[in-house]
Amino acid sequence: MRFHSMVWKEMFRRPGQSVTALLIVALGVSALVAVESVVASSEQKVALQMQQLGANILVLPEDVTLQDYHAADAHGRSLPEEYVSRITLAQKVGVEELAPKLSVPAELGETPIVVTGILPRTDFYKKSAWQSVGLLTSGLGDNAVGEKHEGCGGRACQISTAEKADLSSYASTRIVHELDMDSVLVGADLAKAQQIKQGQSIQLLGASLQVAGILPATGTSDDGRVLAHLHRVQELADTGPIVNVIEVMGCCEEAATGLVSELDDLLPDARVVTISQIVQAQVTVNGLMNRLSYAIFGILMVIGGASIASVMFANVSERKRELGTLMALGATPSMVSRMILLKASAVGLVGGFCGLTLGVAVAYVAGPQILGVATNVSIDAVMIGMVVALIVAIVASYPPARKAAHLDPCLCFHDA
Amino acid sequence: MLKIDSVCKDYTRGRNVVQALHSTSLSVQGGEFVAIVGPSGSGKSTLLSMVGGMLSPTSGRVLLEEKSLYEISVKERSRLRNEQIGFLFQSFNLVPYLNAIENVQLPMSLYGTDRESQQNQAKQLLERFGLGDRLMHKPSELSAGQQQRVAMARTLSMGPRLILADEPTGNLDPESRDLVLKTLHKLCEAGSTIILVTHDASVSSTADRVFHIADGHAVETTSSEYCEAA
Repeated sequence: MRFHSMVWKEMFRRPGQSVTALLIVALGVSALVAVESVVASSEQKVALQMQQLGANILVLPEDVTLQDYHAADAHGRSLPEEYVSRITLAQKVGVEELAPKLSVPAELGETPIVVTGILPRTDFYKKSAWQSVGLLTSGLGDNAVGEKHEGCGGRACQISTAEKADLSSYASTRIVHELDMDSVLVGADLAKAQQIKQGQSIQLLGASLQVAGILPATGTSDDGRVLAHLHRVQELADTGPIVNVIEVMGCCEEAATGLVSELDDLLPDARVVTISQIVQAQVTVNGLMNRLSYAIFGILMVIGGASIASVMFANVSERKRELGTLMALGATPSMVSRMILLKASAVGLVGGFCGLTLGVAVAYVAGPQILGVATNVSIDAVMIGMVVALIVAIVASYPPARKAAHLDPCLCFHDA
Repeated sequence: MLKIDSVCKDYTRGRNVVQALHSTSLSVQGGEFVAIVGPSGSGKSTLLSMVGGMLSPTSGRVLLEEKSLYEISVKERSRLRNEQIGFLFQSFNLVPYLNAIENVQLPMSLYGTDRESQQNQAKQLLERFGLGDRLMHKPSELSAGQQQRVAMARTLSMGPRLILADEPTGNLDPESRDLVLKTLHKLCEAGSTIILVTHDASVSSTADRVFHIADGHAVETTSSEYCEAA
């Protein structure tokens, strides 16, 4: 038998004593891991959005507020489609692409879905009005809708026409290169759920439409949508020439910053917002949740530490005779105090591990509910949680360990 | 073998000072069976604790094999206690969450004796005390007599040269009491020194020497003289 195995045997004899302290530690660690994982994933999502869409601008109806970029068309308000022509004719520097969109509810079979009407890129180049002012006369190429931002090394400027034509670029470009009036593109999740394949015909808004392609998964609400030609959607839904949002793809953030005020002047009845403005609210919430998670963690660690100290003091008091006997048998005071510290370390580690497991489970369940995307565990939070739980347990049990080491061994005698 | 030289022990409780032992001296030869008798609170346990290296005297010296117990480090003293001194308690003081064999292994486990040796030695001792079929039983599953036998096996596990027994028969039936006394005497004959604290005249009467502790002093007497005085 190893001397230290006494610690585990004693713990299992009366586990109830340690469970309360362990639970509080577990709660603290789980809160930290869960919240930090959600916050870290949210920050990653924000960073990804900034990276992919950082130069993008949204033109929205005036009184619309927005939390999620990808739900920019889900507010039910409208803008005249004519605004698209105004932006194009204004030839603003740095405008690479435009994507006016209109979203209407529909049913696919018995499943309610959202159909988003989008004006494909090729349609811009067919517009006679734009051709008449000398725009885009030589057909498709790497021309921007607006004037080129000279010397720009921005992301959008590096995307070739061939890449823009590839459906897999939709997540970052937000435009569709080509789409017939009777063709649709189906989001990845919807296609999987409804078992829709390319080339298939589907019934939408009373019309039979051909599936021209399945969009790759973007991890956004677009995965559950159907994209159709804007004018076809306007016709089927009988809305007239309106859109919910105009996505302006800027060539770089520098150009986009200047564009905001120019578009504001050009469209005084609309609201012009950048991606950074949209994510700012999320960034603020992330910061608040981050601080809150550490505050809750800290409070629970203090309570957990006090609980551990209390449990260990009680344990030492109950075991006076036993510990006195151990010293009579030859255990040194440091051996006795090490037993107490080892027990507390076990409580800290087990509590930390239980908390980490619970926190990860909560993050994986709650994260997608809150963020709408899969959550990754924050390794930093896991490490901090485990280490702090262990340190708190050891520090809290130090006074009872000292008490145990200084117990009067004479307690083992009958009349002590 | 053991020499207690003018030891005093004072306990301070706030402003009060209680003198448990006052200039107590005695010596014990190797292989002797010594009984210490006296009323409750007379200082018997205090004396036993000092001899066992667990309570330092306020003044005086305790010498075990010419070595002053309280002039060595705590660690050395603990090791010496583990290897050379065995304790036997009235309440057995078995660890409740360890089974019989683990309780016997306990002294051996403190300083790294290999596990197989521990196991074999503990098993042999328990079988010697007729507990070969109770190895995995916890103390709560044993009778008082069986518990005291486990305690004896634990005491003997390191082969101590000095055994300190604090009323080891106090909680036992006559049969178990006789077994314990018989075992102690056999150990004495084999060369161990026994110092036994007792109230029981029939126990003290079997000792080679009897010391009576009263008012903090130890005086050598006989068992019959003690009974008469009581």
